Amino acid sequence: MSTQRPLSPHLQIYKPQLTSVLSILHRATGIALSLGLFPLVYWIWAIAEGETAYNDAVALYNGWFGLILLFGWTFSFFYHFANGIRHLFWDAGYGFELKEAYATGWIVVFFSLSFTLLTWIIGFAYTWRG
Amino acid sequence: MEQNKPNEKGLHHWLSLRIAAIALIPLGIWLIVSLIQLPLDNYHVTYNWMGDNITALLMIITVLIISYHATAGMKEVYIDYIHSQGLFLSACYITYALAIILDVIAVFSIYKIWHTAI
Repeated sequence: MSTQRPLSPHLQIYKPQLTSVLSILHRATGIALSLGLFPLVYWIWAIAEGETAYNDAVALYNGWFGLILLFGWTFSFFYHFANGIRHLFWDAGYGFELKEAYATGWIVVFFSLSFTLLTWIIGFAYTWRG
Repeated sequence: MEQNKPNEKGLHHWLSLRIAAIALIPLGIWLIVSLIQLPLDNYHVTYNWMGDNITALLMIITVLIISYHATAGMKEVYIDYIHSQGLFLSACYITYALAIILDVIAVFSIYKIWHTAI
């Protein structure tokens, strides 16, 4: 035991349901976003470094692999953002009823999927505009 | 029993994770909106945007709070899944070290851009 604190239920002993899947997804997107700090700081560093370094970074992000990762990070951002607010309401003592937990869960799913698509549509529109 | 004593460090960890989360609500919106509206393939526009007083300040604050929230969050994952004390501490220290390195690179880079921008 590394610390003496209450643990979260482990994946192997839990039957999947919307609430548990969303809970696991909160962890997964949190880990993904933590790793996303590397490309964020690389982007900032490249701006400081100069135009050549910056264009290299842009080329990397604009490749198919880069775009897939950025799309994943966009979803992770909106999901973790919305579900994080859901968690903060729970911490404050609201939304614990099973019906509420499911309703807010579906809202989070709808919000994160639609805002991910919206971000990329608007983002591309701005890029094409020049 | 030792385990049943209130854990002040645990409370501090729990609370700081959430305070950082609340701070990241407006900062996260600001960051994503900025990234959407910036012509990211245009170096000079991006550079001038980053060199702006308010952008530079907000970006430093955002990166620091993200890295803080990320390390606190990763520690929570380690607590749940790493049961060996040695591995747990190693994972924590590696995470802290990486976060500090990224923070230092980000702060110096933003300072450099802000300092040289018109």
